[in-house]
Amino acid sequence: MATELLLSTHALHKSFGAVIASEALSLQVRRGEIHALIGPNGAGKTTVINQLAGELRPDAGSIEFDGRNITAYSVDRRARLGLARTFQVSTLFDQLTVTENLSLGVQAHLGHSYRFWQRAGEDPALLAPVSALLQRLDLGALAEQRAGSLAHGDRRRLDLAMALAGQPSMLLLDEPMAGTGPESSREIAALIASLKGHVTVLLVEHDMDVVFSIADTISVMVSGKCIASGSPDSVRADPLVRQAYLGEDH
Amino acid sequence: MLLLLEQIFNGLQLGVMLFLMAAGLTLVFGIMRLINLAHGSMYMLGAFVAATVTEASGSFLLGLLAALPAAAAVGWLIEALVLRHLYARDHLDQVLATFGLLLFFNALVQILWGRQPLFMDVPAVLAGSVELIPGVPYPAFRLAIIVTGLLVAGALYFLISHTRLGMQIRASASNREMAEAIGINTPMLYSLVFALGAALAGLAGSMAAPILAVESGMGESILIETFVVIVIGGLGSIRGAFLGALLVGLVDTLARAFLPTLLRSLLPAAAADGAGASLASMSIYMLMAAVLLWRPRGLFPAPA
Amino acid sequence: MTITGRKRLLCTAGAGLLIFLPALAGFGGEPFMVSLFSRILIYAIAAVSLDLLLGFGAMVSLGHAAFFGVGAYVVAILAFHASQGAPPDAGLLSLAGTNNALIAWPLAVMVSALVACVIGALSLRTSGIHFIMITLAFAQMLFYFFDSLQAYGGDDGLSIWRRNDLAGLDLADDTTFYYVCLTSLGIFLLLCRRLVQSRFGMVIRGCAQNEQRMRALGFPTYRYKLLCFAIAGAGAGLAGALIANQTEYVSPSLLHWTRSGELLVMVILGGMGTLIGPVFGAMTLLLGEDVLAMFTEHWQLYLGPFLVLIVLTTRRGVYGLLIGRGGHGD
Repeated sequence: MATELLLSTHALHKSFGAVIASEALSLQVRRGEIHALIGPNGAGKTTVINQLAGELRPDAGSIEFDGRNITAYSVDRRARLGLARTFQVSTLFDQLTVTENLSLGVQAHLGHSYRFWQRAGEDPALLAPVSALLQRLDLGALAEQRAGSLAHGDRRRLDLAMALAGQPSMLLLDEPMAGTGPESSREIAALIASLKGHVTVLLVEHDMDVVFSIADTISVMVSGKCIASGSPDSVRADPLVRQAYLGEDH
Repeated sequence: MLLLLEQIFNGLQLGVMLFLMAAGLTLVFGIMRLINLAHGSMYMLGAFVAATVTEASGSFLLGLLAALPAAAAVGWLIEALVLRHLYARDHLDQVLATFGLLLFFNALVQILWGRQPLFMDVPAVLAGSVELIPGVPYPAFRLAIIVTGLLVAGALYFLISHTRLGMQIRASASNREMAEAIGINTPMLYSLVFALGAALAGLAGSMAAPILAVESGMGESILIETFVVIVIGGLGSIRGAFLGALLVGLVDTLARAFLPTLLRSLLPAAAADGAGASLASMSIYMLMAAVLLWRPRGLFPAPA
Repeated sequence: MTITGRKRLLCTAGAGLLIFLPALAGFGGEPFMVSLFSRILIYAIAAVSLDLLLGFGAMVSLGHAAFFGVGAYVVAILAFHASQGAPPDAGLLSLAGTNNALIAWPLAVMVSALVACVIGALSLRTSGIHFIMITLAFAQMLFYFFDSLQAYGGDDGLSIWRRNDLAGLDLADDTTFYYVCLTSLGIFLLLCRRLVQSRFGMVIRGCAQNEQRMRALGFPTYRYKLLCFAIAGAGAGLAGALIANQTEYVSPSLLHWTRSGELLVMVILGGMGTLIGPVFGAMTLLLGEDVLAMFTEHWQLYLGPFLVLIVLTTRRGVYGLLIGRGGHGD
């Protein structure tokens, strides 16, 4: 029987010298939900994502994913367990084509890559999933273009597609809409919303309209601490939150 | 026991030479993030100039006084002409360009001084032995090297931690953009640091000239040992360079002196000597491997 | 003409030249060219193996010549044992010795790969400047190791009486040996081409461009890079086995780091990340040295600044220049 909580942290603590980026942070993400993490700049949201992904080691506390304590696991091991992420600044394989980028994402989860003879570009096991991804993320027209030459919005979509390529059970999205225009934003928001129920999402975002329309749960962070967590309505009404972040006019 | 003491001193002497080489190189790594394969060429130039001027003037002191500015000047020149353009480039470019410089200097030295190695005598005033410890005579010249090296180490320490220039160096090492923003003249600083490193290498070369053969390519083996020192000590750290250099100097010297004998208790004589010689020549690299396993960034890395 | 068209033309012309070289050399009355070109082909194999690391894996190894030398020494030591018997007190290394290429050459490749595994395992825990210096240092360690082996000549090196026997072929005949080298290069190039386009190759290329993302995707990057390092070492080992036969002599200078530098130059000069480029690079460097040496014994004086200039102005490489493309990776 799968547990209801897919990801949870217990008293996560991380400091950089005198700056406390995460203080006694306890997050709980339910399976299948879209959980948004909001807060003013400098609240420590990206640090949380980095600790969850494994890029940073917490000073104290633990992280549990799918019933396992993954606090000491490496980045790649977490990814293989189904915990995928995107980056605040899209980091892709600029010299490779969109197809090749996606192929790598797919390949990572198809067993090992100690295959030395067959051309990856002609590998049927890779072609089908890549095709599906191209279609789903509306990247078909750009399939043979170099990732480095894509427009910003397309890069964000490719970033998301690569994270989805391995069919993760959970996605950590670090400001997926950052720097994109309104149309791209809407597309990406719709995509994320469509994941509800299939892929659990922890989303860091500043766009409040998007957050309040697609999130099931919202956690608010200020100065490394989580000051509120609950449904969008309860968060919207929470006086602490209004004071610290949303402002009276929301 | 006496042999041990003598070898310890030899180890210190090698260590101090390595420090002179390593100090400049580690500063260049730490501040300019530049890998410089031509550093050994400064050592070589120092040796050649010292040998030539000493031969011509009869005074080792003059030789030294000529070698240092010569090395510094050449260092300044290659920094301005070549290295300046490499700071922003990737390491591969730096390796290739400085490798090119190395080839150039090796050939230049052969054209100017011929293919035969130069031999230089130890200056007469330091030709004898000194009995620091009663009953243990030690060559005065090698002792002078040790003393010089320690003095330079002290002076460098003072420079880095107690002068304005040193502060600028440390600031640039930890954050280049910030240093520029607060008004440090980075290009000038880089030239100075590089010239200083070159002068130190030239000093090492000058002091080595009476003990080794002065020839084209002599900078290469000490360059590799210098790299080992820096990897062990930690990139960008003068303290690491000093301690790493002493460690490497001692390990290398003591291994060469005693490993074959030690192994004789385990293996037949011929095998012991052979294996001992092999192991001794590899000792500092094995030390480096051990340090890397334990501390991948070196023993005393400069704060990132 | 398109880039692809020029590529095809250039490669066909090059292949043609290499295939008919012995005949051409014979007609031209310069039989020594066969020997020179055998040497070029052998260094080309070593350079191509380095391109796997450098051009595709972005691993700047300054110690690749170590694997080249190890391969050569394996062949030489086995030949030495075969003719003289193992030296006394050789202990573990009291192998019977052999002159059979079908045993010696694979053994050379395997030993080189193993050594590469060990050095790679330690070196790949670092990156950037550290990695460069550490590969350099370990290679130099091996140089000193072979230099200290008095039983096998020490710094005087080791001569072997004759070339290996390869399944009945007479390798003593320069032309036969030349074609063996050419075939080896051809096969190696083919294997490498398939390798870089395979799943494994894509992982290596991904690691070169963005290792952080590769890990985020779930790849244990260290293991793949290590395997690539070992494969490259194996290739260099094969070249080493061939050079031992070509010169019938090995010495520690084969492992010296300046030799690693030369291999690096061949790759860059030829055009890294192309596999074919390094072949041109080897040809250019070795022929260039020979030609320059005819004019002056101080050719390094010119090669040095030439390298510096190349780096400061462009890195298209000879191959890139000839086919008219921009930076590598186009």
